[in-house]
Amino acid sequence: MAHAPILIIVIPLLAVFLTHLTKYIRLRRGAEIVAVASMLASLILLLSMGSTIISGKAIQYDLGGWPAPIGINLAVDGLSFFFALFVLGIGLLIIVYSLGIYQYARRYYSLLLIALSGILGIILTRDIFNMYVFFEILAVASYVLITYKRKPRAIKASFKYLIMTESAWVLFLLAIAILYGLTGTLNMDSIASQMSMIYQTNPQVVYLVFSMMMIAFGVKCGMFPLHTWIPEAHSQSPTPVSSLLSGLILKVGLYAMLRVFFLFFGATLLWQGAGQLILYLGIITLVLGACLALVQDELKKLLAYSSISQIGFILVAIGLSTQLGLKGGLFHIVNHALIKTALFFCAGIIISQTGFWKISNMKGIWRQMPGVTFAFCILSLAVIGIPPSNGFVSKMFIIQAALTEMNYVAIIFIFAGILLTAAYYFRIIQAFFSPEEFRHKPDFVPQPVGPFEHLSTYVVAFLCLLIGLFPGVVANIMQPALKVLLP
Amino acid sequence: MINGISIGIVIVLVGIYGILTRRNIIKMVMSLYIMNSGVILLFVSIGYIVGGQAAIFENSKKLMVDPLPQAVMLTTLVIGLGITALALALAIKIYDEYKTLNTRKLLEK
Repeated sequence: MAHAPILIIVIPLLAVFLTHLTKYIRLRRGAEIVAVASMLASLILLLSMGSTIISGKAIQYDLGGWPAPIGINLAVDGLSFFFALFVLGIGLLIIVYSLGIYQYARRYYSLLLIALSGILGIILTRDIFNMYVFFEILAVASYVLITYKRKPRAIKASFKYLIMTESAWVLFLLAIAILYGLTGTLNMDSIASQMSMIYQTNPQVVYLVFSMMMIAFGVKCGMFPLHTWIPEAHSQSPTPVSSLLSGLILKVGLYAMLRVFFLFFGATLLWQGAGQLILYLGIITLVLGACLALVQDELKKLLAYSSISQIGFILVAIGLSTQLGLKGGLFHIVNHALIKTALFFCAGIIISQTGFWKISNMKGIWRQMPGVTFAFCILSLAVIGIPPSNGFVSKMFIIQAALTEMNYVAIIFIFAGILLTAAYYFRIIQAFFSPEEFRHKPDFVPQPVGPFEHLSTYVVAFLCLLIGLFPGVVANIMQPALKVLLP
Repeated sequence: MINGISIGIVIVLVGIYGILTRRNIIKMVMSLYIMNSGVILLFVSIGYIVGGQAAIFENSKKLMVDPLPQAVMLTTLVIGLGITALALALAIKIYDEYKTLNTRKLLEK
């Protein structure tokens, strides 16, 4: 399969049209079948490249046969393989979760597939303008997905997200323009090869480009001063979309940060200061997110603030930028994507069964739905980082990295963050297992929750324990990714 | 020095000022599009050469402007149009629901 890299992006995009065409054939739930099949096809194509990637090689693909600096170039290397794998896996889980709820809604699946193919495009492309275009594809699909249920507050949240993201992308485009003016190419590898020369002759330009890109990716991944869109957008959108936002869209911002920053600025002296900047912004993000989560009463909003806090941990790991730190960071990216996806699934099931949004109304809920409550407990232990869950492994790596760097400020605040995380998750668990009798909402008709929702939640909860018990499997897939970042 | 690049930067700054200070949703969307236009002007000006011809095969012996920024900015124009249309659609929905376009008042509701 010589064309596998482009097919991974294009198959979900073609499936978008097919989901709408299923209207004309007599096939029950045709859109859902098309969506699942396209994700599985992309996953199989990606896995077929697995052995080459694990052995440390990269697969290059020139679009239209035009070689690299002139044409657009796609590359599957360790880092993009790692990210594409978990994006496809979690994308599939999100589609499986939605199978039960949004019956026969072709529009929903087509938007979800557009978003997923946008994410895959961002991950696989090696052309910086192409990356911008895929970011916009992802963004447009996600604005519409947030407002899918047409709730007034969701429309407001979507507008806020739109204004913040788009103004950030204008800055990203400005950075691309400056880079193009300096280097005369849009290919990321060619720009990177000229970067240290530009830094020697004109360092101010490099600072400018760095700060613009920092704002752009910071908005996408929810870094401290730019996180304000997250709580509203996450809590107001439909449950699978909250999972998509928290599990994948925030991670794409981190991917872009890892890819572009390490490629462009990794070799320059600037990285010393830039790493410190990301580290301290990460510390503020993790403490602030945890403190704000502590006072939230709305379950989904609390999970959103928890996402901000966990992104802070990953930013600290990226800022340390040692081998061990990046190992912990990458590990925490995949762990947090899994955990937060499933936590939003649990919250969605609880809300659609009870009609309550607030934690104070969910007292004693474990008698009503023991399975979901149990899964929620396992997942919250994983977020806090209690062994034998996967969160423990990644947080241990991050703390080890901070210890070897002798960065005591980071260690103190990481421990403070973990304690705060424990505080707000134990508060939810305490409410769930409260001895009080659960009081139903008067005249609320619970929406039916099918097997698909439960299945996807339990699969992820099981996966979290499994990764915690056998972290070596993920570490093996991660090894080529680390080699790409720190050659 | 007045050329496309400096005018483009000024337009982007006008847009940033607008998006930070305006309280009306429609004006925010306008500022967004102004920012976008500024970047487009800047990017196209980077590839411009004074006296250059259009980059088509007939002119291959003459001085030509760089065609890549023009091609790339065509994509950005389309994206900007789509985003503005979507933002205005959201603004209509917000007005229908809340009967105001002021972000201060929207925050209270």
